Amino acid sequence: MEFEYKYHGSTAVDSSARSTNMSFSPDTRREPTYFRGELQQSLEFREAISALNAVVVSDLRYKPKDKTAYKAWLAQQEQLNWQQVAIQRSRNAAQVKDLQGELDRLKATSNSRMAGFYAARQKYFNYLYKKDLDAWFVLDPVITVHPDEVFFECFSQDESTYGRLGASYEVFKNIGEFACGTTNIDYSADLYNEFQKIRRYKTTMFQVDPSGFEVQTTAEDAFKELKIDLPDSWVRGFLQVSSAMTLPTVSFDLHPMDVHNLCFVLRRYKEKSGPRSLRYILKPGQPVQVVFEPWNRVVTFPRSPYLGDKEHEIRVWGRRRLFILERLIQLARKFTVHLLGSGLPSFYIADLGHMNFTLGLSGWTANDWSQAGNFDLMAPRAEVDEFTKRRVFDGLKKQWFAAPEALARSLDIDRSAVLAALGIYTQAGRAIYDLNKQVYRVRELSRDPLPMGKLRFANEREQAAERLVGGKTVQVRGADEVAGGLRLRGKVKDGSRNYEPELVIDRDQRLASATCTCNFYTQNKLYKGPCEHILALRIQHRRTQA
Amino acid sequence: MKLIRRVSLGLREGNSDKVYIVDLCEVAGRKFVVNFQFGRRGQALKDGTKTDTPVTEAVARSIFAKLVEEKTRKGYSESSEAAAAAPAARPSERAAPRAGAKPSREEAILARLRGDGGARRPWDFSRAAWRAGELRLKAAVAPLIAGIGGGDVRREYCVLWALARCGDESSFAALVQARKQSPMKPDRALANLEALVPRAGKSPMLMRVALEMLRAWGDELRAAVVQHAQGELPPGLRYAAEQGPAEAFAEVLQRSLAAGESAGVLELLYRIDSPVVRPGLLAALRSLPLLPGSFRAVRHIFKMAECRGDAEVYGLLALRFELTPHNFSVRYNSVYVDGRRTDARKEQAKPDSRLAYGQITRAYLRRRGWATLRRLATLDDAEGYVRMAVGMLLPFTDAHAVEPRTMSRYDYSSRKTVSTHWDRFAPYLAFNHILFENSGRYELKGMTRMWRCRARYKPGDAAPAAREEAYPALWDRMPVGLLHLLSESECLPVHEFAVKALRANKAFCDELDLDTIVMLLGRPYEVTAQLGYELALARYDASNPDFELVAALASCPVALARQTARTWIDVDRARFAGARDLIVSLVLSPFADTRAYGRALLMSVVLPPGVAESLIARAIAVMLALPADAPGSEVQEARAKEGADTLLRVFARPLRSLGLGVLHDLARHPLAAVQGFAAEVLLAHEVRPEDLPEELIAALAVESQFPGVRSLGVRLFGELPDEVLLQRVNLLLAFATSGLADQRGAIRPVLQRLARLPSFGELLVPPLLVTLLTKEEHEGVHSSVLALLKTDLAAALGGVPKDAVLRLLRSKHPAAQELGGILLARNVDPATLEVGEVARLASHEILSVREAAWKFYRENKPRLVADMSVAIKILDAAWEDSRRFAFALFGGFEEHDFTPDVLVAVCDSVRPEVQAFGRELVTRFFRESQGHEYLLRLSEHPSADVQLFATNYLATYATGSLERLRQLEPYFLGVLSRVNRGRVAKARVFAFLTAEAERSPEAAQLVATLMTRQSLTMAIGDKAASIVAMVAVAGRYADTPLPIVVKQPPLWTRKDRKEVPGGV
Repeated sequence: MEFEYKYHGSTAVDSSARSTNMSFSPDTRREPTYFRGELQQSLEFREAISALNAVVVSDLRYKPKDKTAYKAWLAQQEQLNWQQVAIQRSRNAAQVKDLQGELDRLKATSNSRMAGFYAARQKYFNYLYKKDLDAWFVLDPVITVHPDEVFFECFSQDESTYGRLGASYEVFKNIGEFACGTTNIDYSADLYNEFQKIRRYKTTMFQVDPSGFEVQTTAEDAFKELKIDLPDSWVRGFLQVSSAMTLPTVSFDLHPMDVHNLCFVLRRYKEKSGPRSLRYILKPGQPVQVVFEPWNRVVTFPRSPYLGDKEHEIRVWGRRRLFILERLIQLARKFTVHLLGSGLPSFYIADLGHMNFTLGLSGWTANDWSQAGNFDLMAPRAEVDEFTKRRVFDGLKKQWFAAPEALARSLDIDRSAVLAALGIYTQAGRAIYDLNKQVYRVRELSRDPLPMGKLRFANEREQAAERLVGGKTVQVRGADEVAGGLRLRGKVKDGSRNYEPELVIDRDQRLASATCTCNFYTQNKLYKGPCEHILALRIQHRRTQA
Repeated sequence: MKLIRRVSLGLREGNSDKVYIVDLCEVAGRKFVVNFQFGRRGQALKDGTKTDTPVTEAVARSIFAKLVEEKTRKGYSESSEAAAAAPAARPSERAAPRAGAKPSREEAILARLRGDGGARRPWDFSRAAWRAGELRLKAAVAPLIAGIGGGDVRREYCVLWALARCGDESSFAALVQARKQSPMKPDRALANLEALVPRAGKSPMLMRVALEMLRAWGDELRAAVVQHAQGELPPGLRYAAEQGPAEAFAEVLQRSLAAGESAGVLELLYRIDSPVVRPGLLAALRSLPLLPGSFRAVRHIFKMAECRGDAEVYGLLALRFELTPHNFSVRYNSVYVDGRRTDARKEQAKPDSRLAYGQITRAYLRRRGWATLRRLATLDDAEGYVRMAVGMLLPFTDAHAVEPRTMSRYDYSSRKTVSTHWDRFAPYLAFNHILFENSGRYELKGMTRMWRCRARYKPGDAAPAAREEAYPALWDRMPVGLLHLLSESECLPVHEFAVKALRANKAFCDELDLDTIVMLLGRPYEVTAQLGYELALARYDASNPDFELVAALASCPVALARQTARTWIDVDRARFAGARDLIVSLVLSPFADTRAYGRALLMSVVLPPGVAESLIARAIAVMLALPADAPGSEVQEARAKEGADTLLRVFARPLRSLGLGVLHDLARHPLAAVQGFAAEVLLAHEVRPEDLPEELIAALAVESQFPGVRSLGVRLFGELPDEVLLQRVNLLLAFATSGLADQRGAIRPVLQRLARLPSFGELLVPPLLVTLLTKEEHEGVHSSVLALLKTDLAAALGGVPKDAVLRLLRSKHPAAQELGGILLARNVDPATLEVGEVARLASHEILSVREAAWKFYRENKPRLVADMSVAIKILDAAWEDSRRFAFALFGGFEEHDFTPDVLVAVCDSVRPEVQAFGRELVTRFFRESQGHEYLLRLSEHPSADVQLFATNYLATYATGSLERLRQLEPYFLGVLSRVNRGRVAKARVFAFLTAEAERSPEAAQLVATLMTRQSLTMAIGDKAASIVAMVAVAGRYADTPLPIVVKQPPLWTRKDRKEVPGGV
């Protein structure tokens, strides 16, 4: 999916000993959105925007170590060893040894002579890397100005982490004119460095620069045009996480030091094998407990009781993403955690006074098929007709943000219909649910509407699986604990045929192995991902569990 | 010996068909013999005699009668067929009966058509009818007309086909009469067609052939058929077909076929076949896909062409069948159509069949091409054979040659590897039949349907001298066909064949006129030109030379011939110099040696007065006519180039007054050399450049697609006087920043010249700077603009203001930066620069710019000190060398140069080394009075190092002040909240807070709040420290709310040793 932006100049932060001016450059192709104000809570803002930066650059996907140099060295070494063997055997050992010595000397000379060149070359490579650093970011953050708050949103490169920083107008003073709306802002690595210079004793001007909409007269390249080709999976991930926010959650508050302790355990210990989950144990009236696997280390949060009325045990993965919250611990009054369920997205909202930071985590760090099947998140929650949908959205647009109940009252539409309509717009990236204030907000993720038909399912097999599960033709026949995890066996009736998929889910809820009797599996095994029958069996099992 | 009497007897019995012929002959001196011949009909007969020695007449007659009677008894009977088999000896005896004579082929056909065959198993009527058609037997018309409606559809088809070939204007009346209709005019024929040919309405096949028949019967009927066909055309096509011209119609047809028009219209068009529609029809037939939907029409047209003897269409389609692979092949009478097994026959019989042009159909159609020719040959129809053969050979060109192929296999019997070769034209069946039927080189063998090389011949070997074609006698009778081939064919084997055949026809060659010889010489094939050369040698008359012949000889592909022509000219140069066309053809010859000779000739002779102008006109006409899109356009390019050079050299003066209209045409010619010629002429033209029409210059300088011509055009533009050019700065700029390197290069000398003018630089430099600042549209523009500015326009750069220089430096384009670097030193007075601007320059990518910034810093210390908070930005420069310079520079500054603000701002940097440098400066220039300020400011730094550094000031500048304690609260939280890091800072903060809590209840309250929060940590050391602090607070101010309960440890004794220091 290709996104195009056109920025008027670059975002600039100009900091001097006495003041800091932040001027964000918005996308000029979108409808004008601007804001200007002076920051009052500058330190909180600094830390929060740094956390947001951590989301933007976060990439925790597994990257295999590059061992080519070592392998080459090893091969060379082995040859040398064989030479040694040969030398010992041969009568010319002494001569060879001399020659070897000479060769080593020559190599050393060569290395010392070339050293300058190598160093300079490496410096040049470093320079190039730095020069093009901005190319490493995927999508520039989105900024939205609403009548009550300004918020930034971003999604990580590894398609798994969502960050939202909301700043209500109490954070600012001397607020100038503003126009509500959503726009993308130009963002670069240097910007992060400049943010670090924000201080309380400096005045900090914050503006989304409206001058970008004025016509430029000089002939310089005033506009920076960007074309970003985003993978569909990235957009899908973003929408899945934001649409998960609208679902009912299990929520509780954590003391800042509880998050400190979470990070502490993870900083101190590094697991070498799975399962790598956090297991939240929630008992009504009891302190929240977290179990760190694989050590089964239990951490109790004595000052954070769970106030819900039902007992839960929820596992979440991708826990190292929580380090993003580290910088917020010192400033946060509390963290509110929203959990959807095991293997489903989770949300951590830091209360920073007049600011709030929402960290949304998808079920797993890796967004691949081994944990796939999250398309339920994008499923329509209820039927609602086109007219009602439009009315609800227009009503929301008029107010920019509204609680569903209030919207239902003012439009005189049933609350469930309003919720359904808003859910659909959230899935389409045109609205979001603000977990902090429990309201829906208008936020158009992109200038043009996203192709929803393409986005819900990663492939046609997911679609087929959805159809199979919906048609109630999937039967789970057995779920046995085995050495590696859980083995599911079942029967899927697809058309006139019966298939018998079998799969093993490991303790990290990954699809460790699977078989099926269908043609797709016979031809491709798992090289192209699981077939629809395997997926359907897995979803059916999950639904029966829930 | 004289034949007195002959009796021919015949006997047909089962498969046996034999004749017995008895002769009575008189030998000298009234003596007689009785001879007989016998054998199978149609084969050589054996001879015998009943009289070993001559006998008297009476004896001989009795033997004769006895023999005839004996044979008759055995079943023989007298018949004309038997007579036909007998050798052509004319019996002299009056008694020979007429009925016994053998009838001719024509007679036999007519007899069969009339129904008086007589044989026991009669010849098939339809075959006889077909044969009549092939022979175009006029006499067969009447019986054929009588045969209409007499049998099945096939027979009817044959009859109508034969009538189409045999009939003429009079046939129509005969048909009307025979069908017992009242006399009708030809234009009523179509309306009453069903009355004339009753079955035509029921069978489309018969309808087609019936129309074909009527079409062949004279102009009136043809007009009626054409009108009928036109009426059936779609309106658009009908209009175009009626109005013409041919090109417009071809385009309309092509468009409507592309838009999905049915291919059936092609049949209608072929029925019309007027000069307007034919070219378009031929083009459509060349490109029409042979697919279901369109193939059927192609097949019908093929049949119609065969019926009409239309060699052009027939040959064209035959070639398409050779080239187009079949669409499907049938296995076990079925074929897969749209994934379904389908009966091929049933599917093909459907009107909307999804199958067409299968393997069998293609094979049949390919065979048919040669079969038609062979039948014509066996009928001894030289004219028909040659015409069709020429039609089938002409569509082949050298482009249809394929790669020669070789296949080797091991032969176990001979224990040798046997190779089979296929030559370049091996796949074409009829082509090879016509050319190589009697060849010792090629043969058609096996199932491959490819002509392979015979045993010893390999592709590329020399061809034999003997003629190889089929039916050489027919070609000898129609040598015009050979000439036709030579004049039009573009295929080497065809030329080789035709030349060989023509050489064998010496008498015909000797009678060829000079035009034909010139034509032969002009062909691009050496064999043909060689023949022409030999003929020309014989014809040349030195006393009265034919200029056209000499010109053709001088430009023919045979080197020796060209040499000969030059020798002839050298004999009498003056005489040839007057021959304008000859000179032009020499100068613009396709051959370099002739062109060189032409140039030398032209330079050495004195031209008669007035010849020069007409010669130039003629040469330009030839040049304009040179084709550009032909495959050999390099040759044309060379011709035009050298020819133009010669003209420019020899006729420099007359060319200066060449008409502008002609130049305009030359400038728009597709060949580069012709355009270049126009430009060269214009450069020296007597019309002044400013008076030249603008579009002429534009045609060369802007619109031409050849770099060289554009350069010339730009040069021509540059010839304009300076004041005119100054008014056209935009065009100058467009050339200077053009995406085409040649235009940029060509305009440079012009700009160099103009740069000497004052005011020109000011006019051109600002827009060029803009070019450098904007994105490069085409590669190389920036660098060439930079070169232009650096060298040619250097003098005008003095006026570039400071702002523009800085903008150049800020640009992200390297060329702009480079120019900015040069101008920074030249144009910008350091005094006018602001410190902040210089600090930014220190991060510039170009070293010289950074060095300029350093120089400024070194030399302007007072200004730096005055604006220190901006000056220190150099410390954060992106380049390490700038930073190192800055460390050294600021390291040497004095205490009074810095304020705390500045020092903290240095520490604020995100670079660790700059932070360290800042801390060092803070330490060096520390003043007691500013301690708390440093502490407060540094405490807000996010980096752990600086936070640790700030702890140093805690004990001294924060003690005892509740207000500071409150201000520093976020700092304490920040330090203590670090996860698993900052042990020393944490310890110092804990110690400090523990101490502070002692001082006042408010401080204790604050510390208690902090510790309450921190005590939740899992880190044992931190937890312990916070508990210690809280215990201390609890000890001092007991009423402070704390999450701990301090329990007094119970006294312990040796027996009961338990340790409970306190609890949380």
